[in-house]
This record gives sequence, structure tokens and C-alpha cells, in this order.
Amino acid sequence: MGRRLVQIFTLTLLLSGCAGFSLFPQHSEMREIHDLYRKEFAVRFLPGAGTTVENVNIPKETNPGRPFARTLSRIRSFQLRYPDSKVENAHLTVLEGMIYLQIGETASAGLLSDEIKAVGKELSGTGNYVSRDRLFAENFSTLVDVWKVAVGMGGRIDPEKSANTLCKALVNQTDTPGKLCGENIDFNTTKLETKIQNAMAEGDGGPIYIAATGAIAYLYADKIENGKCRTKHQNDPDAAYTECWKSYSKRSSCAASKLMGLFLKPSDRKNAATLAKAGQNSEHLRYLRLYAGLNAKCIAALAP
Amino acid sequence: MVAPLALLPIAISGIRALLKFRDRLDTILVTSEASEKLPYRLPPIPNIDRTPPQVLKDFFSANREKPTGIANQDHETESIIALVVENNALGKIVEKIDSSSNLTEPEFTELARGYEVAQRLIQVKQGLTPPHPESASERGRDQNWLHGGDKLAYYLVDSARVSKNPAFVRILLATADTLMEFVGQNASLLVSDAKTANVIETLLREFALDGDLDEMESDLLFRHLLGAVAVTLENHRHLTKDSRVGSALVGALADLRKTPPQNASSPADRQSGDEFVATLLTADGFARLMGATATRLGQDRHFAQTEDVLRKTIGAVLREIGEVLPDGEFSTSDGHRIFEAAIAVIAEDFENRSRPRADPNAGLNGKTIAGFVLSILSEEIKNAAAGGSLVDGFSRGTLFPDLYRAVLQGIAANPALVADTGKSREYIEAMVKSVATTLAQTPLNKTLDREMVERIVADSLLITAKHTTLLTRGDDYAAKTLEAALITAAPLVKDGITMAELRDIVDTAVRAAADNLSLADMSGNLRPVADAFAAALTNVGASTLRDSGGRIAFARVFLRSLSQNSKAWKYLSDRTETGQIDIIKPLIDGITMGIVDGQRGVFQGPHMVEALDRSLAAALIYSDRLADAKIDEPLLRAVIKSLLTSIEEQSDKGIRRELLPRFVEGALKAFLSTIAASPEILVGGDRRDAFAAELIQAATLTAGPLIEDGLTPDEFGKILQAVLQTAGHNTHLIDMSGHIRPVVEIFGQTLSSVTLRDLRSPEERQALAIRFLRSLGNRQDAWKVVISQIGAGNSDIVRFVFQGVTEGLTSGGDFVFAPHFEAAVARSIDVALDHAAGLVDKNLDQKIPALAVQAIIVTVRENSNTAFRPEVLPLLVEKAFARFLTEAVADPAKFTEADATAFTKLVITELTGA
Repeated sequence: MGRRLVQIFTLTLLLSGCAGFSLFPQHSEMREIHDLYRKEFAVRFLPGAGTTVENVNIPKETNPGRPFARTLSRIRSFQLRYPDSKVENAHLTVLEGMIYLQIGETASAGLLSDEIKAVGKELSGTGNYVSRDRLFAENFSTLVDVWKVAVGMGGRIDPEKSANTLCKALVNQTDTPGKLCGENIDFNTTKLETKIQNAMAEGDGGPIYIAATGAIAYLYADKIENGKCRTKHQNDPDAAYTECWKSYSKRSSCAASKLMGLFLKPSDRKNAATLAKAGQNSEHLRYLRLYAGLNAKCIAALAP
Repeated sequence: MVAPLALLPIAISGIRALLKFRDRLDTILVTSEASEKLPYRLPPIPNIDRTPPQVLKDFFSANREKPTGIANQDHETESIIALVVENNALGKIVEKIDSSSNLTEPEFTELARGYEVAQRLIQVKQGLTPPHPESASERGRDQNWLHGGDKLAYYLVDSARVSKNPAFVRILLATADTLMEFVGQNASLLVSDAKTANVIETLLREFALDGDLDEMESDLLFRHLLGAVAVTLENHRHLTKDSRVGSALVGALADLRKTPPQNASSPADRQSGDEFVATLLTADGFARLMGATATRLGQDRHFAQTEDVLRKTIGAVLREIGEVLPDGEFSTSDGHRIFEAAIAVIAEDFENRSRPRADPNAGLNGKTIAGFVLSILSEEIKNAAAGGSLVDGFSRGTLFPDLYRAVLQGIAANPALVADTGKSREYIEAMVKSVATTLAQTPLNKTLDREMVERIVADSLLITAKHTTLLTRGDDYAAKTLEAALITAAPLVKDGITMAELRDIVDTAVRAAADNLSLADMSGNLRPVADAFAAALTNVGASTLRDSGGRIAFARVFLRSLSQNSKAWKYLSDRTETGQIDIIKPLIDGITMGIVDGQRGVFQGPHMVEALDRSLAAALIYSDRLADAKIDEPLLRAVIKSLLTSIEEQSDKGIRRELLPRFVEGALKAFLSTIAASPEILVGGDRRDAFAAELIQAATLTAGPLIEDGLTPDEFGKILQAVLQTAGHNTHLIDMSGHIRPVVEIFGQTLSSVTLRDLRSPEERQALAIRFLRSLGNRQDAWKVVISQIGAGNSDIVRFVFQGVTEGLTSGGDFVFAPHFEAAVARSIDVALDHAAGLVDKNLDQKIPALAVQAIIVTVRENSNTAFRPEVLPLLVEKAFARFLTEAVADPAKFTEADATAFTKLVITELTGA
């Protein structure tokens, strides 16, 4: 019995990291889906990037009109073939939802919201934080809201509320009350920060992505409020500039930069502007740049 | 991070389970893949910035002087502004600015949008931005920050990964990963088979669990080694019969890694253990090392009784190789060969000991024997090379490992050398010297490429090494021996001699040399002998000896004869040395060419070789005579050729071919001994070759009929001797040259017709033949008469003499002469010959023989049952026959058949007094 447990334990430990072989069909299919996704991503969002993204060689003319059509098709075939692979299917469902968001098909994404929330329970993390996919799944409906706003389909959605929701979701992960979010975000909550830093150190980029989305949502909130304000000062452009543009910009950039700052190392926060200029392109760079811009604006606005 | 050793069994069973349950592993892997980092865009970032109203106004104002915020305001910028204003229908707004009218907030929004476009176009003009940027609606503004690099990386979002799992788990993953990469599905076999699992377990213990896999290099080494081990175990299942080999080898490599080679002069030079191990294990390195060890282990039970001893031994050998490898110009494959050699020798050494030593690593000067030899050898070679005595580049390449093996083998096999450092060194020096000399002097240099020559020399050394006595003599004996062997073999190269055949020749030579140290006395003279032989072999030509096997066998025969007759060869070569005479070449040429020329299909391969062997042996007994130049090449050649030709003529009478070489030997012995005793036989000047050939022929023809009776080669020799002695005693017989053959032919026919029933024993027939031949010499005058009759076409007289006598003596019913037949015949022949002239003169040769035969028959019949002692009968026959012939010649007319009988009876009565 004990021995069996040991074996199971060992197998459980092997949950990730192995390079794959065609000996393992599910694995190789999953890898193909990912490769395809990366390629279609590059084709769609990185024109001319074929030379810099490895293995991106899908000619534009063969890329079907609908973005990510091939990736989506492979996702469906995987899910039909391996209906019992709950974790993997959950991952793919989340990916599908994320694809819809990124190409602006927020309606499609919205239809998936409930399903994604349900399958999200299959996904877990191995460390101090829930995994990227779980985090995406849990916050998917909020993400849909933010994207709807971003693509001009926001309707009555309040992006500030969305931003706060995302912030609370992140902070809640740390068992710290969510009231810190919004204007009340406080870097000095050591317990929160330690926990988040641990998650970051484990290499999961989910939290900072969600934080950045939240930060952007703050900016949309700014934009909406700014618009209302400007209507008020329609015939006084100088007042509109000072009261609307500058004032809201200050508010949103400070909230956004604080939220993002939670997920950056203190040293990165301090040197963000320098790092953003000199840094190599990497998954961390865009957050540094975003943070640096927001932080500079916030500081400038706060200046007397 | 150091993982606990106790986890090892768990690791193994974990991997085993992992490999066994492929589907499960698929699940693990796919889950892992699901957490791969993927690119995700962020929502587009809204523009929450607004250029201050005054800046916008200044930018678009036609009256502006120095607009702020715009770099390089020039004509182009003006055009861009004009274009933007026109395209965005900003004309009215700009007019309002110019006329200083107040603008509304929406108008400023329009201006701001135009401002943004214009700024962008200006940047494009200045080369700051690509001309066709992605449209803002599709891409986030963050995109604008990107310049070059991996743009995809910019969007990647990590997920929690295994990378921060405990080292133990990473070891498992790395192991499973590597095993699958190298041997695929068979990985599970490797892990489940107790033998192979043992090796992998050792590897994990030595390289992973007590190491730190956080260091990238260690991880690579581990994977590298594991891959090598896995492939080896997979591809060479036979090697894993004893898992101790693999485990010991892995263990030894781990030791090496911890203690790198010690020879490096400075710490900086010092090769790291990892590097060294990695160097040894390039490509098929592990397989080779393991193969070498396993092969030896399989052959020997004593070697490596415990894994620990094996491990120490392997480790020591590898370490010592490590000391040589970085210094010399050795490749890794040299290293492997050195290792193979060392392991082979160590194993052999163990095998040869009744009780294995407790510690095989105890050796000389604190090193193992293998290491000691390696260091001294490399040192010696360097010295020798520095002295210029070596062929260039000798210390490099394939030869060194072979030389090493040879030396090591030699030393290991000689306890005295092991015990004495000085003697070992001396031995090694001798070996190096031998190699140098041989390499420099072998005639193969001219025909073979260097690599081949080196292989030959190396093989030769392996053979030589076993014979310590050869090498410790302090002279060049070993080198000279090798030289002789290689000179001998050189002509065979064009036949495409194989290495194995060459090795065989060298082996023969070296064995011969070692077994016959007296040969050492002629070490300086070996070369002319070998040269002569090589020349002979060259003359023989590839076509004559059908296959190279025959020629190789010839070469071996020669070399063996060198050892078996070393004194004779020395005697001959001494003469050669002093310039007195060169008999060696004629001797070898004569015999070889005689055999080859004369064979005409008589000999088949091995028989011919045996013939050469026996002929050489026979000839060398009389080397002093040879040296006196009494016997030269044409003579030897003629003798052997004639012998073989005549024998061939007899061969249809049932001669057994396997006996032929012995006949040749017998003949040559007889010939040479007779010539030695009576050199006057060959005084015939120019014709002596022909004469000798004729004599041989006569003997052969005479002996021919006897051969089917089972004439032995010795007996044949006796017949030949008889012929020769006859000739010797009758030098005038040389005048009969040209006539002897018809006589012996008729005699041969006669002898053939005498049935075995009549002459029961071959000895009798042989004696008869000899008696006949002697008569040739003794009664030469008479024979001359007879021969002249033969020349005139009248051969009846001869028949009368032989056939008459023999038939008469044997057809008398009861054969009474049995023991005395020879004497009777001899006497009868003498009588017949006495009267030959008379019979011929009176033309009686037609009639008298018949009567004579009758008379003899009567004589025999009348007296066969009398009281005479049988031994008197020949005398009686002789007397009666003589009287009969005397009377017949005197008065032929009175002899009718009845008369003859009556007369004979009368004579008998008279003679016997009965």
C-alpha cells in the first residue's frame, strides 16, 4: 500500500516539465494546438514578425478569413477525441474564450462565460497561487466586460467596477480583505505583497496579466468619466483640459499603476522607466512599460 | 540541492512505473503542456492623454513661428500638416485658429486626432516608425513600443510550471526523459530488467543524487552519460550479462569526475573531471569502454571478483589514460584503444594467475602496472622521437595503443619484469627500439600505406611481446626477427595478403626466433637469408602458386626452416657474409623453382609446401657441401625437376600424392649425401646437370613399378643412391648419357611383369632393381653392346637378358628361389652380359634367349626338390646358364629345343655330380 502511494506520489510530481514525444498522442496534439495558436497569434497581431517569431510561416493568403480558425478547429477536435481529459479540456475552453476576447468577438466570449467559470474548477495550481488558466476562468466574465468596453461594445458596463472586481479577485487570493482595491490600494500591505511575490516567483504570469487588464479597465473608466466631464465643459476647452483630461488621467493612472505595482518586484517598480526603455522584449517588458507610463503620469499629476 | 540517497529506490520504481504506464505519462505530459506559456494580448489601452490646447493651436496655426513639441520643423512638415488638414477636414478649424476665434472642446478633439496623425507621419518621414503600422483599432498601443526582437515573447503569459519542483523530481523527469529520447519504448525494459536497472541505479546514485542538478553542466553530463548508457544497454544486450561491468564503469567515471587527472601543471590547466568524463564518452565511448570490459570479464572469472575491485581497476586505468591524453596528441579513440588494451591485459593477467592478487592496483612506483607502462612508454617514445630515430609521427595515431598493449602484455606476463622497475624500463626501451627499427626498415613501407604498415608492426609487436627473452637479450634480435618476417612477407602483398595471414607469418617467425635462441647468433645475417627467400618467392610469381595461401605457406615454411636449421643457415650466411660465396639464394631458388617448375599439377597446395619444407630441410643438412659450391642452383633445380617429372610419369601407376613430398625429400637426401660422399660423381663438367637429371630419372623409372607395391621414400632414396653410387664408381658411365633411359625402361617393364606372387616382398623387388642398376655400372662394356642393339632397333637382346632371366627364374612352377632370387638374377644377368657380345656377333639373339629361358627353367625344375640347399641354387643356375651360353655361342646349330634341355640336364648332372 505504502509503495503504491509512493508511486502515485511520484507520478503526481511529474505533472509538468517533460519534453514530449509522439509516443504520447494527447500530449503531441496539445503541443500542436499551442504551436498553431502561437502562429495564428503572430499572423494576426504581429505583421512582419515572421522573421522574429520562431516557426511562424503561415502565409497570409492561406490563413482563413476568421482569425484563429485553425486553432479553434483543433481545440474542438481535441475535446471531441478526449472528452475525459477534463483538465486539458478546461484549459482549451479557457484558451478559446481568450481567443474570442483578443479578436474582439466579445459576444462569443460572453456566451462561453458560464462554461468557462464551470470548467475553471478543474484547473488548479501547484504553488502558492491558482494557475493562470484558473485565474482567467474565475475572472472571465469580468474580462469580457473590460474587453467589451475596450472594443466599444461596453454599453452600460462600468469599467471601474470591473477593475475593482479584478483587483479584489487578485487580492482575495491572499486572504486579505478586498477593500484595498481602487483608490485604496496600498503597497504597504506586506502580507499581501509577500504572497503575491511568491506567486510571481513561481513563474505564473496570470496575476500580473489580470492586474494589467484591471489597470487598463481603470483607464477606460477614466475615459468614460472624462467624456462626461468634457460634455459639461464643451465650450471651454481649457477647463475641459484641466478638469477632465488632467484630473481623470491622474485618478486612473494612479489607481492603475498601484494595481500593477502590486505584481512587480519593488526593484522593478523603482527602475521601471529605465527597464522599460532598455529592456529586452519579454513577457515582463510590457508590464514594465505600462507601469512606467502610468506611474510617470500619476507622479506628474500628483505634483503640485 | 542534494536529494536524499534513500529516495533512490523510489526514483527507480517511479521511473519504472512512469515508463510502464504510458497513457498515464501522456496525461502527465499533456497537463504539463497545458501550462506552457502562451501569448495573450491585453485589451487595447485607451488614449487618456490630451495635448494641451495651446500646443494644438500652435501646431496648426499658419502664423506660428516656432511651434513647440515638433522637431525639425521644415518644409516637409509643412506639407504633412497641410495634408492632414485637408484629409481630416480640419480646414475650418484651422481658419478659426488663425482668426483667433474660440474653439469648442469637440473641435479640439478633432484637432487632437489630426495632431496624432501628423505626428505619426512626421516620425515616419524621419524613419522613427515603420510606414504601415498596424491599425490602432486592432492592436494595443503598447505595440508601438516594440522594435525588433522576439515580438511574441512580449505577449507571453507564464503558467505555474514544474521547474521549481524539488531536484529529486527533476532527476526523475530528466531520467525518464533521456531514456525515452534515446531508447523510446524500450526504456521500460531497461528499467525493469534487474541487470540493466542496476547500472542505471548506479548512474543515478553517482551522478545525480549526490550531485547538484541545479547546475546546468552537471545536468548535461548526467543526461549525456545516461543517454550513452541507455543506448549501450539497449544495443549491446550481451554486455549486460554481468551488470557489475556497467556499474563498475559508471562508478569509475564518477570517481574520475571527482578527482580529475593529476598531471596538469597548474590548477588552471587542470581539466575538470566533468570535462574529462565527457571527453571519454563522445559518441560510442561508453559502449566501447563497456564492451572492452565486458568482453574480458566474460572470459575470466577471476577478474573483478567484486565490483569494487573492478571499479578501482577501471578507474585507475582511465585516470592514467587521462594523464597521457591531454599531453600527447592522442584522440579519444586512442584513449579507448589504450583502455581496451589495458583492460584486456589486466584481465589476462588475472586469468593467468592461479590466485588473483588481492589488489590489482598495487603496482610500480605507486601506479598500477598499466599506468606505469603507459607513462614510461610515452616518455620513451618522446625520447626516441627527440633523438630522431623514429619515423616521423610515430608517437601519434593508431600505433601507440597497440604498442602499449604489446608492452603491457609482455610485462604482465613476466613477473620478473613486474617486480623490477629497471628491467621493465629496459624491456619497454627494447620494444620501442624494435618498433622504430621495424618501421624504418620494413620493405612493406614501399608497398603499403602508413596506416597499414603501422597495423602490421603493431600486430607483430603483440606477438613479439610474449617472448620476453627476445626483447631482453640486449641486442636487436627482436627487431631483426620482425624484419626477417616482414621481408619474407613483402612479396605476398601484391597477392593481397590479409592481415591474418601476415600475422601468421610474423607469428611463425617470432615463435621460431623465441624457440631457437641460437638463431640469435645469426641475427645480423637474417636479412640476407630473408631477402633471398623473398626474391625466390617473387620469382615464383603469383600465377604459379594458385592462391596466396600457398605462397604464405611457402613463407612460413621458410621461416620455420630458419629456426629448425638455424645453424645451417648461419653457416651459409656466414659464408655469404665473408663474400666467399652466395649459396643462400641459389639454394632457395633452386629448390623453390625446382618444385614449382616441376610440379605441373602433380602437387596440390599443401603437398607442394611440404615438398619445399622437406627439401629445404634435406638440403640444409649438407650446407657445408652447398657452401663448397659443389652444388649450385641449376643442379638442384635439375635434380628436383627431373625427379618430379619422372614421378609424374609414374603417377598413373597409383603413386599416392601425399607421399610425393617425402619422395622428393628422400631423393634429395640421397642425392646430396651421395654427392657429399662422392663428389666425383658430378665431374661431368657442363653436362653434369643433365647427367644428374638422367640418373635421377633412371632411378625413378626403376623404382616406378615398385611404387605401387608401397615403395617407401626411404627405399626410393636407396634406389637413387644405388644409381648414384654406380655412377660414382663408374665415372665413365657418363658416356652412356642418353642411353640409360631405354635400358631402364625395359628393365622397368620387366620388373612390372614380375608379379607380386613371384616376388613376394617389395624388398626383393627393390633389391632386384638395385642389382640391375649396379650391373649398369659394373658391366658397362656389355651394356654398351646391348645398348647399341637397342639403338639398332633390336631390343630382344635386352629382353633376353632381363625378361628371359627373370621369367625363367620365376615361371618354374614352384618358386624355389624365393630368398635367393636376387642372387640368381644377378648371376644370370652377369652370365648373359658375359655372352652378350658373342650372341650379338653370331646373330643369335633371336633364338638363344628362348632356349636359355628353357634351360634355366629345366635347371630350376630339376633341382627344386633335390637335397640342395636353396642358397646354392643361384650358383647352379649361373654355372649352368654360363655353360649353356658358351656352348650355344660356339655352336649355335646344334641347339634345338630338345638339345637344349638335354644339354642343360647334362650340365646339371655334371655340376652337381649327381
